[in-house]
Amino acid sequence: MDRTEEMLVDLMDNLDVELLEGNYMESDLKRGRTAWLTTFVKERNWRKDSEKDGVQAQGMQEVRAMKEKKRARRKRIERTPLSYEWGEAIRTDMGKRLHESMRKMKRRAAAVWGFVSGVVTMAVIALSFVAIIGKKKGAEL
Amino acid sequence: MTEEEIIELIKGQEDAGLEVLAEKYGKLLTYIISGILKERADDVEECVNDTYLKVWRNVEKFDFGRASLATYLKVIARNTALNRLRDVRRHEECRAGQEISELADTVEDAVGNVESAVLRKERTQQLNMVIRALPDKERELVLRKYFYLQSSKTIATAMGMTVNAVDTKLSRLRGKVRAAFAEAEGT
Repeated sequence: MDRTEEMLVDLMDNLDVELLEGNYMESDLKRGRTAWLTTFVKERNWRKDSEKDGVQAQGMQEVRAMKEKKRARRKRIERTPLSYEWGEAIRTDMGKRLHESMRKMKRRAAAVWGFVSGVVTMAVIALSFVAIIGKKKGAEL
Repeated sequence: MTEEEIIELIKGQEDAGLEVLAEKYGKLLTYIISGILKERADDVEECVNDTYLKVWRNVEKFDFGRASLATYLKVIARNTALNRLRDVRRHEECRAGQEISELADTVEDAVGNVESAVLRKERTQQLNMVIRALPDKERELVLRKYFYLQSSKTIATAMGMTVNAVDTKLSRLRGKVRAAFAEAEGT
């Protein structure tokens, strides 16, 4: 501010009030309010748009979808209800496995039984031979 | 409520008058005062309240034939804010021990030692004459700048001009004022 400007500011303290009539300051205020309202509406619309299909919103949606997919994959069995067919399949599979193991056990038991009976037979035959030989030696003496 | 009704309420010292005053002119006064005090929010509020108080106390002295209540309010608001600004700057200068701001310095000069009250009165009269002689737009420009202390940018936006145009016009108008003062001093 130069000296004249400073002097003007100072002298205007006692300016005639008639010279200040006019409503331009009121107009400023109205214009300011309108401008603010326009900015506010623009800003609000922009925010709405960006929430709907802004780049950031899209990114967020993608991340959310991926997370959901992962979670679904992890909990697939719990989440998917068992169908009758699935139940049957599991059930018959279990029965099949039971039958197989029983058959295996029976086979093992038969093998063991065969081996044991073979051994006993061999022992009986061997004992019979020994007895016959013993009898023959006794008769010679 | 009309201005006359508000004035009657205030003259009758009824509290409702102040309420209506605050409701009707609060925003305008805040706008004017904050334009001068800028970001000093507390001071702005205080100045607005001081303005109401001054109107409340001095309403009988106002000549509503010369100017409206709104105009008186604007003048009081502007002077209250400017005085507050001067006080704050003076206070800051005392605290910081630095040179006083240009504006406050001018006040010291004008009010105090350099110019006498008589000279000041004469110059005010000359300024009144110069401003009265200006076309409406130019008068608005000068008042916005030196009465309401608006920045050139604000003025340019409000009046639909460029900042350069505002500054050039103001410079020319300052020349007119200087010439008027010089002429008066020469005679």
